[in-house]
Amino acid sequence: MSSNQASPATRELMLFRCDGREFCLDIMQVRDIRGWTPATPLPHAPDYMHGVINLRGQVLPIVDMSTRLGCARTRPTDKHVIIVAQTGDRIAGLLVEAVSDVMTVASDQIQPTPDLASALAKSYVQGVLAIEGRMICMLALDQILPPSAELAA
Amino acid sequence: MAGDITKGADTATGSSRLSFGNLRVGTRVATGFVSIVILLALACGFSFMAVKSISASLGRLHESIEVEDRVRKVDRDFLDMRRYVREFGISGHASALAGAEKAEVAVRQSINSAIAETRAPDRLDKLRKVQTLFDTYAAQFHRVADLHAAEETFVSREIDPLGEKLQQGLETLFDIGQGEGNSDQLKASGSAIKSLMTMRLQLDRALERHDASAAKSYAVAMSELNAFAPKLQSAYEATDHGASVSAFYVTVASFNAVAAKALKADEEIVSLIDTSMAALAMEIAQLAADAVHVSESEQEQIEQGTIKAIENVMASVLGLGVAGLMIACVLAWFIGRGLALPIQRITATMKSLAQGALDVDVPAQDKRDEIGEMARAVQVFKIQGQRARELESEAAQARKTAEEERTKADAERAAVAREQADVVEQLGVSLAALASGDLTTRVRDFPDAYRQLATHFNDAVDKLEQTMSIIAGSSLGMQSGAGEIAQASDDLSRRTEQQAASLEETAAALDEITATVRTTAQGAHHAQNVVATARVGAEKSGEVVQRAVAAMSEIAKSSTEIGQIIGVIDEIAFQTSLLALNAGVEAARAGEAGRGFAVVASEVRALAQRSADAAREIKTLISTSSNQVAAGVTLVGETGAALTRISTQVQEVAGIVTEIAASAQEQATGLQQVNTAVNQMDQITQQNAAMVEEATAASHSLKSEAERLQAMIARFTLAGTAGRPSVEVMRPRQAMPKRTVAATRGNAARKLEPAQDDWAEF
Repeated sequence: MSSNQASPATRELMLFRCDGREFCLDIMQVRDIRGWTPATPLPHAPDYMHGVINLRGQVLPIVDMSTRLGCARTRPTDKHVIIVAQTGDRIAGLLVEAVSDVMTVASDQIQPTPDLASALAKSYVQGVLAIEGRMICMLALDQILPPSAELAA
Repeated sequence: MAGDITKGADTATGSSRLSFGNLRVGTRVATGFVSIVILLALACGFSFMAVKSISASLGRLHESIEVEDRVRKVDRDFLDMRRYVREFGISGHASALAGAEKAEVAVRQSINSAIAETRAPDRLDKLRKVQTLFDTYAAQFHRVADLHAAEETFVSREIDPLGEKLQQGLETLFDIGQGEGNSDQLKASGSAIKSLMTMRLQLDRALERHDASAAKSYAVAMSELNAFAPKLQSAYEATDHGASVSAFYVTVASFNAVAAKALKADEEIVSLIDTSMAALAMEIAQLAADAVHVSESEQEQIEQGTIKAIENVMASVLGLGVAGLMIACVLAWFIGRGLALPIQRITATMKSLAQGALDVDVPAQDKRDEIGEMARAVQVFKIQGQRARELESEAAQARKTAEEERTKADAERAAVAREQADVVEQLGVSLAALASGDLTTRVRDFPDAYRQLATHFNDAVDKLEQTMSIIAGSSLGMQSGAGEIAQASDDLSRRTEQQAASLEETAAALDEITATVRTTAQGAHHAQNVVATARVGAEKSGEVVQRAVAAMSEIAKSSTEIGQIIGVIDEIAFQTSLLALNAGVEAARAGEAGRGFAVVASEVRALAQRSADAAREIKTLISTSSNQVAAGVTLVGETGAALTRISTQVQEVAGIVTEIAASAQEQATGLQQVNTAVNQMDQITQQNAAMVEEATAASHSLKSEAERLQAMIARFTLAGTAGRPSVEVMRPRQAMPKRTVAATRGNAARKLEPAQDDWAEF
């Protein structure tokens, strides 16, 4: 809650790598970080849904970020990491290559997504962080996570 | 005696017609020889007698020399004794006395031995005189010795104690003077002491050396001492010591009396030695010298007598020899003449009788010896000859008639003889020609009676000529053949020598080769050993490679394990990193309160990250190392394979080398056999060379023999030279062997040349 207060000044971001590219999330949306555990696939689920795992007795859907971000399906290894993220009451595990960093940036360093991008692309990317010569997209978790109806189904 | 014989010979010549001439020849010769033998016996007897007398005189000479020697010894020994006596007289030493006594014994012995040796009475008398004189001399010498001994005792018993007493007396006086401090007394007593000393010294010298001058000096010193008497008396009377002085002078007087006695005895000794004994010695020496002189003159006499006797003997033997020779010559002349003259005369008579002069007189018929008998026999011959002459004159008549018939027959016979002579002459000429080697000679124009002889002779000569022609041809062929053989033998000999030399070189070369092969065999054996060692080394290397491969596998295994461990570490690092991230998330959620925790989480994450990185690096390194180990294993495996191949090849090489060694050994053995064979060949060649040498010599002698035969045949004149048809017929036969010789020679040459090439190659 305090982070929401502090958001105008600084923001803490978690950087992760997916399909060779770097993305970031607001750390407040992250609940947990786990190593890869094999997931049980769900029949007839969208292709970015990797399956479900047992997280402390709770069924947690796993989203393959690579497929979700329009790239090839990930072949998970021990080195792959599951970021347990939550937005609102929706909670899901994001399958990424690796968590690369946790960094604190000023809020103004996060620039809005340019208009040139399509509406769909703009809905997935909340903002772009340009820092140390790198361009890191800050993903919009609301858009990425499947709707709760689907999740409930 | 010689004169008697000559006279006898003279009388014999005088009466030869009657007595000597009528003796038989044997008797005459015997008479001559007997007289010569008697003469020789006389000469021998005379020579024997003369030699005997010379031997006797030589014996006498020997005796005389012996005696002279003895006498000289006496003289020498006596001289010795005199020397000792003189020495004794001068020195009086006991050694001189002992020497003199020893010499005396020697002289006595020499005199006795000389007397024993001597035979001549006058010399014996002289020696006896010498003996007597020497006895006297010896007695005197003993007297001298006694005197000397007495003198010595006298000196020691009387003179010396008295002298001492005098000395003491004077010294007492001197002491008195010293005690009184009287200078007059001191002076007088000092001078008296001095005089006394001189006196005693001189007396000692006079007695010791028998010195007359010392005796005089003694007298002077004594008078001097006596002269001091008044001075002493006056000096000492002043101190009432006059009595001592007078007592001293009483002693002086008694000393003087004793000394005079001693000096007298000494004088006697001197006079004995110097006068009496010297005279005796001179006499003895004179006698000895006389004896020696007599001996010498006697020896000279004997020597001269002997020389004279020898000369006499020589003259007599010479005279006898000459006389004997003359007598022998005269006798020989007479006997020879007595025999030869009548025999010559009878021979002349016999010659004239043989010539037919039957009217000669036969001499010496009246002689009664063998010549007379001969003459009488000749007389018988003469009478018979006269008788035969008468018969002959009767036969002459009958012969005359037969003579005429004989002349007629002689004419016929002369004709026949002429013919015969002609034939003989021709035959003689032909035979002479034949003898000189002309075989072309023939006889012709013989009378009918001798025709057959001519034919036979001609046939014989023909046959001979044919034979000689054939022989000439054969000998020519033989000569050339012998020449060829000699030439061939020379060549053969030379080549055999070359062959022998080559064989020797071959043997030497073979020896070298044998040595080389042996070295090769040794080298091969060595190589075999080396190869075996190499093979063992290679096998060991294979084992090492196996071990290296195993070690590599171990390394690989360890690497894998390390990799697993590294994986675990990496996992742990990953988990740690996740935990740190979670921690960071939690810290971020905590807000301000979790700020510090966030830092720690970040640090932990960084550590985890580093640890993961390190693990990754190690993993990379390990994998690289694993790869390299794998490569190494492969390489080592290849090395092992290569080593195995090498081992196999080395095995093969060892086999080959063994074969080489075996074959080298075989070669060496073979070469040894070859060497033996070559040595045998060498020996055989040497023997061949010797045989060839002999063959060459034989062929040369054959050649020379053939030449000699040729020369001998050339002495014959054959028809070939005269060009007679019969010889022409012979020619081809003669030429035949020549041609064959030429042919064989050609063949031989052709055969020889390649052979020569072969030899050269060989």
